[in-house]
Amino acid sequence: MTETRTTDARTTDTRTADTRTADTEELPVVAAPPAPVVTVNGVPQPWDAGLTVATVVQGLLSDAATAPAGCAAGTPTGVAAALDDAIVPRGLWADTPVPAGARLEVVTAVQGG
Amino acid sequence: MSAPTSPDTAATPAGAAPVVAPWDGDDPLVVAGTVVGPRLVLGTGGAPNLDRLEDALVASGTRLTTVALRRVRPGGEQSVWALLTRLGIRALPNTAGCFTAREAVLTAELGREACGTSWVKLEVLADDVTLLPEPFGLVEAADRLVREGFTVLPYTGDDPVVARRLEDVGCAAVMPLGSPIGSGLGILDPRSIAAIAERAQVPVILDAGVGTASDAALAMELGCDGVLVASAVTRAADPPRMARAMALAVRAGRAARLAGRIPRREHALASSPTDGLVGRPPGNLDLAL
Repeated sequence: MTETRTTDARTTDTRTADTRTADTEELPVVAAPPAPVVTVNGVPQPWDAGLTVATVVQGLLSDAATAPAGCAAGTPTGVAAALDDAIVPRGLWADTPVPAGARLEVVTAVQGG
Repeated sequence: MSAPTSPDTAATPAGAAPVVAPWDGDDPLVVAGTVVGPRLVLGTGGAPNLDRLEDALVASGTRLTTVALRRVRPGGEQSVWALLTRLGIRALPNTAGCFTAREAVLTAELGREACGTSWVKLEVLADDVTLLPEPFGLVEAADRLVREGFTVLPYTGDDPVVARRLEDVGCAAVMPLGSPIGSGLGILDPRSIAAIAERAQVPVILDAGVGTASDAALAMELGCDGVLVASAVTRAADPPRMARAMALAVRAGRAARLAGRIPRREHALASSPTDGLVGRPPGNLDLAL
């Protein structure tokens, strides 16, 4: 609560006390536009206009110890990608832009079943 | 159905030379016109690490093994895919962990893309406690995937009617459980498994519940065409040894099935001659004739 400088107990409107501290609390908060993100395997990460499925997958795999076979060719096998629940065939990764706000799932074969 | 073709190598890329034990090609499991290999199918789940898994896979002699699809994790575990590529074993992607037809269809599509195979072990589970198949979602997902060109091998309960529905929508095999996943309780309802096997026009592969080798042999004796084993091998004290035991059991059970077992009887039936016994008056021989 802003300090009230007046000694007049009847004055409760703080804006009349000192125009230099005119209260901004009543103004609606306008946040800066959120930076666009993409959600990759459930984790938000910054978006930029040059993102393609290929760049995101490469970024993930370069971090991953999985390094599945065939990675060297730039088209890793054993890995699949889905953009907003639609499968993106491996051959189209490089040409498929990832729009801001998209959800990308990148999966690989693991032990199971 | 056309004559069986040799196994396509789509799921074992890179032209890897198989290093698993040689297989004599005798009496193979054939699914959707494709020679799969030996009738024992190994699941890769449950092994503590890839080295142990490799030992078990090699010892089992299997040519088909299941894999799951999971998100790529930075710094994640070693890839089972690279192992299977090196061993020349066909990967059968599953939809484990899916509880709806929608999840299962998406996961199957991811598996097709990742593993380069249109084969899928379809799982739609009812809940994560019983891990029992959810038959309505299962049939729905199977129907959809068959229409998308998948070769669908559904994990189902031991209900013969559900198995029939799965076959009706075009599944390439049915894979009934013997008992719940990972329970090792064996085949709880042998008559249901026998009923499924008797009626099915597609291969029946017992999936889930096998605990030890005799369970696998029983499945084959009941008329199953194959057995899928995961935990019973990968979590055994000595997985390669159990893998070999399972392979032997499957062959033994299959041989016994083909040999035709004797009917069960309520009372004893002597196998030695009942005549010519020492110390008996003669004459029985005449009666016997």
